[in-house]
Amino acid sequence: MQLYVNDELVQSEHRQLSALIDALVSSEQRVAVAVNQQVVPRSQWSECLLNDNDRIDIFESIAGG
Amino acid sequence: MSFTIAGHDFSSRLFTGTGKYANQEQMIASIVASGSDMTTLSLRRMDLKSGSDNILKPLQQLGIKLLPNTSGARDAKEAIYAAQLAQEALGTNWVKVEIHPDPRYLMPDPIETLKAVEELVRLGFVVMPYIHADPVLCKRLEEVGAQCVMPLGAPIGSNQGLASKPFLDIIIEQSNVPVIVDAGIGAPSHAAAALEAGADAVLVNTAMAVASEPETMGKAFKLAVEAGRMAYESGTGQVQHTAAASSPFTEFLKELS
Repeated sequence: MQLYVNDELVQSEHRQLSALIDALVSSEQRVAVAVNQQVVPRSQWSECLLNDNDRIDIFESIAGG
Repeated sequence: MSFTIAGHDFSSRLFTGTGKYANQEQMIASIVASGSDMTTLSLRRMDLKSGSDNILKPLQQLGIKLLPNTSGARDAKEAIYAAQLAQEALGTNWVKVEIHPDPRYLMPDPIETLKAVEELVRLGFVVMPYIHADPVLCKRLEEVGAQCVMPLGAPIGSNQGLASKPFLDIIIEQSNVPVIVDAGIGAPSHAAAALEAGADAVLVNTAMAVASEPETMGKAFKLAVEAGRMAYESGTGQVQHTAAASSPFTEFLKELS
């Protein structure tokens, strides 16, 4: 399955969103995730099943005024 | 001296931002010295290769309230998306709405801001809109449920101070929600002037972050905001065109002749 993660093409065998995030992001890090520009709450990551060519965006907090 | 936004009490009338500091140690020291109990953060898409600078942990250890902003949003739709992401990333329903499509002056778009605020209030957010010092817009935002307004003193990061002062005065006079002067405050005297004029609070970032001594500057802002508020509560005297003697020296001169 191919996915776009933060605009980069990624080959992935992870069908569950939670598995993809576990593989990419340290468990300590608090992130927000959107699939095809719909925010998916953390509580729904394991139920969220990914499809070929889905666009996944992973956001983090940074310094800002 | 405390004040309230959406039922949350703040002991300090100085809100801060986390941008532009040379390093995290200086940022933390400056925010602590300022006494601020709410500070802003932004969101961005993670760089999955280089990892992150993990700014959250030291801020959470401080116990300070975190206020995500929608910086980077160019219209209402993007701001709402950013607010929803921030809610997930930070676990808060508070958001500072900033919509500035033009990177040169970073002027907030009033029409998109009003649309975004109306929708975010409907979705249950506590919304703090960053706007031009426009008294009419402030009333419109209040009507759609903004819990405060954040008019600018001058362009973001410009250090020009309260360039919009006559309009801030009108906003403060008319507002039924807290008024927080945001942007352009370049020196503690600007912050003091805003509080003296009756603003409920100020938000300061650049002036603290780019100081040669950010920690000391944080303290200077703390004192300025406290002094400004005290002066407001004590009632400053009226401005007059002519002199009004504070000593009865004319009597003294008569006695000499």
